[in-house]
Amino acid sequence: MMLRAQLRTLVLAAPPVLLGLAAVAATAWGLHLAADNRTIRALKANRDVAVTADAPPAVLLARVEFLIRLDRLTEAQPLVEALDGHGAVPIRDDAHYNLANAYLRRGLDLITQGKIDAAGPFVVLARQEYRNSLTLVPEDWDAKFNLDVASRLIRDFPAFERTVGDAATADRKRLWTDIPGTPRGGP
Amino acid sequence: MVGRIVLALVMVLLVGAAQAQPGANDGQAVTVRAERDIGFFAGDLVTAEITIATPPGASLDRASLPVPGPVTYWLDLRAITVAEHKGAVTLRMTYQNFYVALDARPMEIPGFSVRLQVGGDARTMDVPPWTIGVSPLREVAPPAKEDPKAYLQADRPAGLADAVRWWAVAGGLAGAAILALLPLAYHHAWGPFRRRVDRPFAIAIRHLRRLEARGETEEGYLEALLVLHRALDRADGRRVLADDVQTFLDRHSVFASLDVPLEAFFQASRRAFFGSASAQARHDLPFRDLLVLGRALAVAERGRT
Repeated sequence: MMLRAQLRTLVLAAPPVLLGLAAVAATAWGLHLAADNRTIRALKANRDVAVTADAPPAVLLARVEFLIRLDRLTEAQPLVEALDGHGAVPIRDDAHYNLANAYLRRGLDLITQGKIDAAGPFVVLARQEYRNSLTLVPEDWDAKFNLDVASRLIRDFPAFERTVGDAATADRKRLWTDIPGTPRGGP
Repeated sequence: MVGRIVLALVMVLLVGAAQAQPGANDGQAVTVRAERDIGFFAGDLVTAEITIATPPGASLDRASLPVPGPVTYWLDLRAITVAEHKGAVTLRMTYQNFYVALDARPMEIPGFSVRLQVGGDARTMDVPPWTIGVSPLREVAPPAKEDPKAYLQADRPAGLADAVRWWAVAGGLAGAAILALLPLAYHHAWGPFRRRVDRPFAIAIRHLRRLEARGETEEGYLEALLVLHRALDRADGRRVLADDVQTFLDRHSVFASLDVPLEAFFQASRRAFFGSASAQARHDLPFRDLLVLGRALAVAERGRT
């Protein structure tokens, strides 16, 4: 009888205790996100808040945005790579896309100034980042569009050509001409 | 139509493969079925299903399959899944096209060969190359703009984390916790249910705790005995005297396990009130034990249905 009474107490006590714990956890998570948001707002207000590479993805993205705004691209690149380690796909996509835009804008600026050779590496970097972005989200239309813009500045060159198909038949024709006794010409 | 073109292509390439490598494929068919073969922009996924007819007893050598990664400078292989059926192997290929086209043009996706194990010996099956039509995304000559940067799509601003939603979740959970607390409070006769009539011992134990907080005195002890007496009376609905203990326990089986302490309680009570030997009673059954008895009765009464 006593046991049943205690069991009943336990059954009745479990839901409020569990719900209470869940409420505490949700509050803690909300506080955590609010702290993140304060950092993000500070970065958006152009305050140079230090952010480590293992910061939450949303904060890292804001930091990348801040560095891009200040044209500190060499600092932004490692953070984008760090984001690849632990970020959600949409955030990683945005980071690569924004960095690619930054590279391409710098390349376009250099082209406008007539420094064509200096612009080359930045356009190539931009194309690589657009490609990373598209690898993450194949239907990223902004990245597709800007990759098209970048590709009209510097086109991809095949690193190697495959040797089947047309190339192979051309070789075979040349071989034929060297073989003696092949009938050629009219009667 | 597309199927016929693919078939024709396969036939042509099979002949080519047979020329290049006599004896390969042994006349067995390899078919490539693409979801579509035109209209690919840069970044689009290209899926194809390759069916390789296999002779009986043959198994696919999975080590000979292409590995996901770059295929050519403009094409990545992203995924390959294998399904082996009786008499055929189906490869589901997912490529990603990165060719940025200036005009619509066919691009050839390279073929590859896979090995089959037939009995003891290996046989090579050639999957022919096939073509997709890539398309340009923009006009060849867009309208001139002063600043070339104006051609670009804009950056995407970093968003804020959705903290407000978690506040709402926390609030909802706290509300639910409070609601879930109500049955427990009712069960224990707490808070708004503190006057619950069928929880006399829960009320009594609160009274005893107040007495304990006041410090142990003779009057306090007597009052505690009275409090327990009234609680017993209320639990039974009639006056319970020392001789009624057994009938009380018979009527209320939830308290059955407390027969010994209840007997001790009635003895101490008789001694204190009728024997005028309250010091003796306090020695036999100290206030602490009264509290223990009250608590046990409060627990037991919650077992009542």
